[in-house]
Amino acid sequence: MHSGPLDLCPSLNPGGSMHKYIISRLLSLIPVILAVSFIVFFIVDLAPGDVVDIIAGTEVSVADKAVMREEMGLNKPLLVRYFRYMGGMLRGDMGISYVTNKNVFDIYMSRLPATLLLASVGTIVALAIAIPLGITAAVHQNTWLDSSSMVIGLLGLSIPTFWLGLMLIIVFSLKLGLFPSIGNQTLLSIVLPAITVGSGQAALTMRTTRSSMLEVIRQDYLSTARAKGVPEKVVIRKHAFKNALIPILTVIGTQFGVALGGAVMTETVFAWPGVGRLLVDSISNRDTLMVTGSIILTTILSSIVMLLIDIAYAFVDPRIKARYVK
Amino acid sequence: MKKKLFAAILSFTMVFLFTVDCFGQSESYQKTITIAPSLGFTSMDVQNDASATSKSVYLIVFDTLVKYDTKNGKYIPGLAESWKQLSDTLWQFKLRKGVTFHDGSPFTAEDVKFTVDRGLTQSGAKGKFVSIKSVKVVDNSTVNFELTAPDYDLVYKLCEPNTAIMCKKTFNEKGIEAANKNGTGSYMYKEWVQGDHVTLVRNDKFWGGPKKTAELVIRTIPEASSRLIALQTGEVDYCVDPPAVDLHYIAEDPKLVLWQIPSTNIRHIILNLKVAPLDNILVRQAVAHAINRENLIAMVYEGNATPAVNVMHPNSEFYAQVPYYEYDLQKAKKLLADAGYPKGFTTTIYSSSGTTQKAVASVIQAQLAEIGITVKIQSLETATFNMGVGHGGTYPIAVDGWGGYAIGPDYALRSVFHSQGNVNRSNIEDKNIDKLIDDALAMGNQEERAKKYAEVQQLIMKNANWLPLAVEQINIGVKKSLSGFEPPHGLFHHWENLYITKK
Repeated sequence: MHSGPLDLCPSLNPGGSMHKYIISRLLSLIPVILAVSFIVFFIVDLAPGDVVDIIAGTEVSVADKAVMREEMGLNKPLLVRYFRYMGGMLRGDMGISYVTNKNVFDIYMSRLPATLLLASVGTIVALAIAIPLGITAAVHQNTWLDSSSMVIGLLGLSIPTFWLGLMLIIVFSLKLGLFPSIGNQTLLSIVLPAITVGSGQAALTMRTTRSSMLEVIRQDYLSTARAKGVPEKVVIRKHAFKNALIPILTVIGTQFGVALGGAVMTETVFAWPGVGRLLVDSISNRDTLMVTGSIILTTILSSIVMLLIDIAYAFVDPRIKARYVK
Repeated sequence: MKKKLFAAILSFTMVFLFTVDCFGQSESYQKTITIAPSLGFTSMDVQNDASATSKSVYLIVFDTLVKYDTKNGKYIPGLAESWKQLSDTLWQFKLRKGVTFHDGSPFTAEDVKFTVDRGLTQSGAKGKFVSIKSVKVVDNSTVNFELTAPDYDLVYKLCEPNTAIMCKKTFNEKGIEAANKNGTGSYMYKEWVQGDHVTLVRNDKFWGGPKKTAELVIRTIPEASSRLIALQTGEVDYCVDPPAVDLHYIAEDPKLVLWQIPSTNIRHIILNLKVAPLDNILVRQAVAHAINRENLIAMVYEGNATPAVNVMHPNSEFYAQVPYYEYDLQKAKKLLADAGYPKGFTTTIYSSSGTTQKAVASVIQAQLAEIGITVKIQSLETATFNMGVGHGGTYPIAVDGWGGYAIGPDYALRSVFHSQGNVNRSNIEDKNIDKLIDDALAMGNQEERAKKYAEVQQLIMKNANWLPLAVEQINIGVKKSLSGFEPPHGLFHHWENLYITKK
């Protein structure tokens, strides 16, 4: 699905325009959606029990449950249901959630802003931790600064999200009263969930920053810059970091794409109304249409993010840009 | 210039603060009460939704014909002012006059007829209206219910939230979505953000007089620890089911109060009558004698539950003192040997993936090991569990819960022990029990009825196919300043009278 900077060229004629490339990437989404929707539909169907078992509770007789299944069309074979669903999709209708009786697209869209906010601020937090630590580790390779940066990064990766979230709530909400513990009602609400998401993401970005910087840092052109009397800070920031950016961008993009699928644990601890919890709840409710719809929409969103990252390469690296601009 | 600007800002600020203060004082109660139930609000589908939180909201936004007074356990008039029986199968309800729906439409007998007629075709309401053959509108404020057979549980069923009265006019003109939002209750829907919260605003024209709190917010906080912390930080005022191990935090906090109320839920295990060797009554009796309820309650509930020794809920007026198989390992071992299993046997206990259910399964596993029965635990996710232990299922033992008594004695017993019951999970088929349950429902004389129900309770307890373990507790943490608390009835909470007086 996702193509990095190296396979950018084969997907496009050299000298072809950027917008052709974008269109071809968007078109490639169609088979992906077809495959994803079928697999999800099939897997939810494989799971024992159905939505009627969940919504009817214990108060409905077996005969009435059968009637409910018929009304919902659940008694039809899998393929019939799937093609009906896809027929609806073609008309832009993602169906009605069996559980909430609301339009699948509307529900997803009502939860998306919270997820976008959490993913964005979480990524910013991750960058704020990872980039300085990664650069420091690379510049001071094999010193105590390097090792302690790595330890901090590893801690972020290995502390369970659930635990970290609860600890942050206990310290910063309960004891210090600085931030709200739940929901997304105020501006301050984002702080603790974003730290929870960000610290988990930071580790990988940090390691990538470190190794990418290490590759660049001993290049001849940096020695030249130093010889010309360019201050060390500028050498690192302008000459080294900019050239090390491509792999870092790839990691950030991938992590942001994943975050768009929702951060289930963080959302649960902070009662954050994002798409992650929506998806998990829908799976346990066997709400097939909601599950399939959410996954398709998340796939589209993640693909768009990947595409934007690929486009961003061109702005970061003039060599890539030169391939598209005549 | 600067001085003038400063003076202007200062005077504006003072006027602003004064105005805010005046308005603030006009209401002496806290404007919003935030409630955090353990489950989220799932839909506005009044006649179908089976989830406890949704139903608790319907109880506030809508009204039922009959209401349950949780303070003294009496059934009191709701939208019906009074009711009487004209014959065994004919009931007359006199309706409250001058009641309007939230959109201003008057409430009439036509709305009752519409609600029942539609309800009979909807999964959730059908079970409660099932004995009603037809509804006849006598005049604007009188309806007659003609029943298919005598049903002396009708009044219990008519206070169930799925039977709430809906507006016929709204349904005809605007469709079901609008009708599902338009009730006659003390609060109206303001906003529903799926998965986050539902906000209700006070209905100032409520027939019972406006409530004290202007706004109720019902928030979804799925994680129990987060729910408790939100109560401690003051973000919520009413927290249902905080983690059982953390209850002492509430008790120790001078700003909070812990309410512990017996729930309607009887935690029990089901022994499947169609699976060997549990089809042998001696084996079932052995299992029953091996169960140590006190130990189970200490292990699973940290002592916050009471032993259940009957299939009927102890709060029911039809609860009977019947013999049960007390904890006695010697008797259990002997019975097992008599049944031909002196060295025990191997079986499986099924449970859903809920924390309590899994813990009960583990304790039962340990207790049955004492008499040589090796139990494997199979814990399944809820949908899978519900399907697996349905009528005709092949699981040997299952951990389950049952809170049916809130909808009347007939519902409590028929659903689980009648051969045609919806949740007859032990696969019991006993003509004698079926007849007793059918006869009792048609009895107007409470004493006669109680005798029949006592007989059913005795038969089931003797048969040992459904072993009651504990009456669970509902734990609710609230702010000390919160007033108007009413204990929940069944799984339904009563939130409409909550308020906090401003100091």
